[in-house]
Amino acid sequence: MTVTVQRWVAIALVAGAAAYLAFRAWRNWRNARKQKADGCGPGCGCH
Amino acid sequence: MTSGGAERATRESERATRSLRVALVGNPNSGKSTLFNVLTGMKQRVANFPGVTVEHAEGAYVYEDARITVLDLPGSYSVSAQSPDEAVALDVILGRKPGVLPADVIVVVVDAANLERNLFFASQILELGLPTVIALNRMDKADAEDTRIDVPELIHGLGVVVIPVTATRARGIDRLRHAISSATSLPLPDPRAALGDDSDVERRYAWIDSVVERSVVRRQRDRRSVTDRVDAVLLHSVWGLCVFIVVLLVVFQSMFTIARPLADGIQWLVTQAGAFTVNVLPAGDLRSLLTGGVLGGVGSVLVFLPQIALLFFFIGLLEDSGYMARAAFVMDRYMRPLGLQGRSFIPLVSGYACAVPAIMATRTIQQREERFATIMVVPLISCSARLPVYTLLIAAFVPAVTVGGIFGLQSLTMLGMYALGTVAAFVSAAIFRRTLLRSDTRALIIELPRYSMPSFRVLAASVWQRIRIFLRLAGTVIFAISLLLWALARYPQPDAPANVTHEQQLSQSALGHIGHAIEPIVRPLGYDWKLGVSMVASFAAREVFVSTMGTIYSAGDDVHAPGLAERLRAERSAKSGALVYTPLIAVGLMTFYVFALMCTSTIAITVRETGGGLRGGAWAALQFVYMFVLAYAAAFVVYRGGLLLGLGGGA
Repeated sequence: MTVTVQRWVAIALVAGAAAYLAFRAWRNWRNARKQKADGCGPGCGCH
Repeated sequence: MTSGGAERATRESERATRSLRVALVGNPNSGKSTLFNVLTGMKQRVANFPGVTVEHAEGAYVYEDARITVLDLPGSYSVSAQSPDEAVALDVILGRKPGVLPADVIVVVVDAANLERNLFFASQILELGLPTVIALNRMDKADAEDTRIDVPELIHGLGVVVIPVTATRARGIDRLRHAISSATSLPLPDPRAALGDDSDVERRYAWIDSVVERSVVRRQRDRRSVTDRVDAVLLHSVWGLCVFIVVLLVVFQSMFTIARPLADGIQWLVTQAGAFTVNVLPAGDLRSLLTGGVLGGVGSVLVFLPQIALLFFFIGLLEDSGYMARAAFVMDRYMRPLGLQGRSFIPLVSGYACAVPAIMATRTIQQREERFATIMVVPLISCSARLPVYTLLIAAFVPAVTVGGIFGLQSLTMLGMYALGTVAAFVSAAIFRRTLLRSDTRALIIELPRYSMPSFRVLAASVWQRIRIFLRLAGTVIFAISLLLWALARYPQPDAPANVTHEQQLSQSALGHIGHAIEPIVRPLGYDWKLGVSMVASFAAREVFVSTMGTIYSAGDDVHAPGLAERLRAERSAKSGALVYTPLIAVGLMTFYVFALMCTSTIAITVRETGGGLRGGAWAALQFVYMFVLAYAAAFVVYRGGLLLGLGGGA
């Protein structure tokens, strides 16, 4: 595997990792908002 | 499709022509969760103290023509719900829980060895007049205690189907499934036999006594049971505490001695994988990413898998054997002056595994102020995510010598870190209870379960579940962060890479620039930019500290270099040649990690459990700030105090 190919594969992997972490952050933020919108909290009876 | 296949498909579709929802209820520690696992084939955490089932679990199975959905609900002593988890059980039973369909059949799990107490709740459920089946669990225990239960007489007394089962040995399960399936077609319990509300306890117990008198035969015993004699020691105000401390010492010692060969084995595998990568790939970015990012980062965290698995094994062992409830009882008298009761001890002990379920377990605490105080201090208890940090630093800087001929200095240091966090949690709780969260402390009412030999199948399932969670974390978040950190540590590259050392290249990389920007903040604690960067990265998850150090120290391609602990120990300043990391810095760093709240999941769960929104956010912010200030101040005092005492600082 040439140095150039290695570089492109590494770039793709790092970009994928960054995208994955961004997706996780967005998903956590969305879930937190959804729970808040549902009025979900301790004692609300939905846990 | 063949005619045989068509017939089979038709049979399959006909099998589940009706569906039933079953609510599994009962006293805490009546064996509900075990029965749930046996009925549905699902694995769920089972513990021997009240309140482990905070949220309901759901599972399903097919029996004859019905698809049966089973809900495992939190344990309750009474339908007069007092704590949030009891309220959940009642809401589901009464069909008041939003988004959850009401149950068609209620299965009340009754502990045959504690019949009178369990029938209190069961009698209240019967008064609801809903299709009900009594699962008379732990028949083996009742037999062992020479308690004979006349089941037909009990059925006559209660007026509903009673099925004797032993969930831990899967006995009587088919009969229970059959009873559940046919419960809706049987006569309902007679609600006219109502015995009044909770205030009429005497009348209810009189009725229970009459039922038990007719259906139970006990052989009189004229001597104290084994449980009584063991409890005389374990519940003793002094001996009980001594036993508790010895148990913890043995646990930590075992974690070191048993885990070491397994950890060495994983380290060997990681090294071999690195050597294989270097042999297969020529020098380049991908090879560096695989050896430095993946194996250096993820591999350095995977090494701690055996210790984490052992920690959960021991916690499960103590819970399932019935010891943990005794420890809570013993600790109650020491926690009461601090404004907490023994019930808070259970979430605090859960905190040794992970703060997230521990904070959720505080729902068993009825009083808001006490519950919030417990939530605020739970993250001070050293969770399993801190274990890799402690282990790495202890392995690198604490000599493996024996103290007193029994315990190793390394395991004692580890115990010291856990003790430091625990004491800090107690002191912080006392401060919270005397300032922001003032209220009277309620008396502890806790059930002391019978001692029992833990089911190793259940323990293994629990440990395996935690291993999977850890591997998922390592394979997703830690993996992704390691790749990003690798990129930051490798780029931008100097104009003439061949003329600079690895250290210089690292220093000029993006990670190096970030680290140098952070350095003024961490320098007073004796840390260099590499430690600073690793600490900042570990805000995502504490284990990331180790993977970041692993990535930094393996950014080169030298797969035959010694392990991370050895590299840290040998690291010297390029300028002065002095050691960069010393035992004093290691102790200071561990102290920082004992106190610092570096876990986004814990912050999120604190927000949710303290009311959500701005109010929850304010509690979480307070928690983060006070813990960070405490961590920084403690690490500063340790380092500066050590320097004043003439202990060695870093370069």
